[in-house]
Amino acid sequence: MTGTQGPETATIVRKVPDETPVAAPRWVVIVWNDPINLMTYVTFVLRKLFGYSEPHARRLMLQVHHEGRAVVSAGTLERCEYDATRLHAHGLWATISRD
Amino acid sequence: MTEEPRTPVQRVAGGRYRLRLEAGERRVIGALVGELKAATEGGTDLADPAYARLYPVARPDDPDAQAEFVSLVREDLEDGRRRALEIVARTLDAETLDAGEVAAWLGVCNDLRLVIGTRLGVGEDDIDHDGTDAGTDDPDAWPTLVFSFLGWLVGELVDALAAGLPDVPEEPPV
Repeated sequence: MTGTQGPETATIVRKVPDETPVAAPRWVVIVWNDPINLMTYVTFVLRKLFGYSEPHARRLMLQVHHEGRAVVSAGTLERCEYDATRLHAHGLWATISRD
Repeated sequence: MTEEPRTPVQRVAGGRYRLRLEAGERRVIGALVGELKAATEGGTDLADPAYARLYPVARPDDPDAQAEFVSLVREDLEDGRRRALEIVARTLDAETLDAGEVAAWLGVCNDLRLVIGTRLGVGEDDIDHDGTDAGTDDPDAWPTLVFSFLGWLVGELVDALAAGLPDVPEEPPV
């Protein structure tokens, strides 16, 4: 950069392309199907922990039941670790992975 | 364990829940709670797949991250389960429970279902686990009956607690 160009301009030009990839990596919490937990229990736990409506929680439960898995929450790694821990405390089989 | 339909957990005045269980049923739960407590004291024996089921692997694709996850949360999870077992042991003969105690009962009964169901191999075959097919000389007859009883009780505890959850709009928060 020479003195003819303002430092502010240079900073802005460099920053723009950098910002998009810097966005925090997204993680997801997946609940897996298991043959023991009752369907009503899984629906209840999803409502209680995440504040989901009954129809939404039931849809997620049915997705777990029929497709074997469903993403139940997403966000930062810390958020997902917190959610997976709460699911484990309730006996649900939950894993964390990168979105 | 009667076959008559009944409501073992019912919301009553003052935000409390009436617990209608027979003395024999309470004794069965008390004995199972004692076993689970003994098994989890001084750290859960995860060599036993039945107990491993209570602590699923959160990061199956990353052993280092999994080890970190365990060191971060395992103790808290074990403490939570110990507290719930203590609450159930303390309220085993109670006629009414508060919402927190009902939640502890639900957690403990569901954990017991997971442990017993894993031992029975529920889902590994197409054997009927509702207790009706088990003969008296079948070593699985008693655990199968207990598993069936716990399933009924968990369903009733869920119904009682779900009735107390707030109604939320259909669209989930993003």
